[in-house]
Amino acid sequence: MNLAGSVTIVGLTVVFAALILLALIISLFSLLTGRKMRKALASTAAASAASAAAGYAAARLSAGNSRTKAQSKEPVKAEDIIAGSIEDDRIAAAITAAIYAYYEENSTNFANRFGIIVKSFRRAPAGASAWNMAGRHELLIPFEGGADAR
Amino acid sequence: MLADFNEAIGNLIGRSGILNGTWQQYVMIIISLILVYLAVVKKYEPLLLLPIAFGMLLANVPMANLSSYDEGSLIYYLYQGVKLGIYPPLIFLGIGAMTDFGPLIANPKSLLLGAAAQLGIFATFIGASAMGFTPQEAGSISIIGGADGPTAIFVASKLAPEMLGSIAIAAYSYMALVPVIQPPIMKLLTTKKERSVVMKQLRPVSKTEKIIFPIIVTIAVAFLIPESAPLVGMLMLGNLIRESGVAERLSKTAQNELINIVTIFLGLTVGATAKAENFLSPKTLGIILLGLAAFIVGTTGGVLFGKLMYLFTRGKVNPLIGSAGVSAVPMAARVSQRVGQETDPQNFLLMHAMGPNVAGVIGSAIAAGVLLSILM
Repeated sequence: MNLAGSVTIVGLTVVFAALILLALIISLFSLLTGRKMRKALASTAAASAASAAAGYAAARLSAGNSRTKAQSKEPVKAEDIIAGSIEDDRIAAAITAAIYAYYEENSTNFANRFGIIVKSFRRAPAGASAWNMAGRHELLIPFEGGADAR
Repeated sequence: MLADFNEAIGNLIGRSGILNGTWQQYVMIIISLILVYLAVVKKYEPLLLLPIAFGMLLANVPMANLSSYDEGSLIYYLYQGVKLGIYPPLIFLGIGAMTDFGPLIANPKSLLLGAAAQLGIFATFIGASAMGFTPQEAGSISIIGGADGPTAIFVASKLAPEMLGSIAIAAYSYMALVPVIQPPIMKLLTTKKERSVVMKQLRPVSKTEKIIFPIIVTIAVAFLIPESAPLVGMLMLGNLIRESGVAERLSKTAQNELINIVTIFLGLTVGATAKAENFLSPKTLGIILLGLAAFIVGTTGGVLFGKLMYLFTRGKVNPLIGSAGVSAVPMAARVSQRVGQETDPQNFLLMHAMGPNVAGVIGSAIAAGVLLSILM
């Protein structure tokens, strides 16, 4: 029984100590590489904003009139719904282009058309109410056929 | 002529299994068939349970001498890979090549949950010692709580080889039963408020971090607990091959052909250690009971530590991810996700639970190293 007690205490202590040490080391190097990562992310954000214009132009060129109209139905709130980590530039560019398309369709003043710049993307909180989710879903319905049509 | 014929037939029958089987062997054959049923119909960890069950069947055919201990047979030679501790690290190589440690690197605190869930191992060690098992046997039984088949086999093959079959069967059966065992404990120990915590999205992890991680873990763990080095070292080698991106072919082989071949050898030969005289003893019953206790205590440890983190972070950590610390990748993480969604269908805990889940693999390998260094 004595041995059992000491094995338990020694075992748990060593396991915790080893994993705490690992956690510290990982935190440390993620601090170092994380800084670089944030810089990279910032430049990605800038790149995606820049590519948005290209994305928009491409969308205008390739999409028919009806397609643009469908895009124009996207709510202004889209900015809030958009994904958080900019892992996929293409998604960011597509969303930015959609927002620009919306503004272009709905703005009478040409100068205002590109008066907005998408600076950051953030995922809308997941724990939204059922009504909120239903509303979002309804607004997304016009776009749901899009993927199949391609 | 007729006499010769009769004698030959008589000899043949005399040497057949029909006349030489003991009732224990027939009971074992029935048990192995039940395990085949569980693997095929109920899909309980079929990749391992199926070869284990068939190995058990072969080992208990009277007169066939096909157990892992019968020198000269194919199974005997394949068994050397278990005896010499070759197969479990090779399986870990494959697991490393399959595992994405990203969620763990993004949230290093989840390593603590992987440590807390090892409580099951050490609490069971006390229980097994109290029940009269020798320290070596108790160590082998308690490692079932690590919810990690190769680790359990690695430890048992070194500390209590005669109990290998029953320990492996208990470990894999309970791993298959994780979705049944864990949810009631998780719900019992947490409030609805705690279960509905939505965790902050994990930060993206750079490729550099993913490449440095296996190297650092290997150095740190191997220096601290050299007995864990075979398991952790191979796990991390597999992961490095995967994350480096320069050895695609090796990565594919490690996570497919290699791990599959070794799984067949491991399952078959571990099953073939379960001869009637080893398996049909009160000890097996003890192993099955203690194994279950190990899983329950491990889950409890993880969830309680999760609650502690919930308190310290002022509600930013969902305690449900703690139960995933028992390893059993990725089943335990899926259980956290499922129980979380029962409370809030909009909550996605899977990636958060993968952190403690893979930390549990490292944690149980370290625990195994500690047991080996003290008890061997």
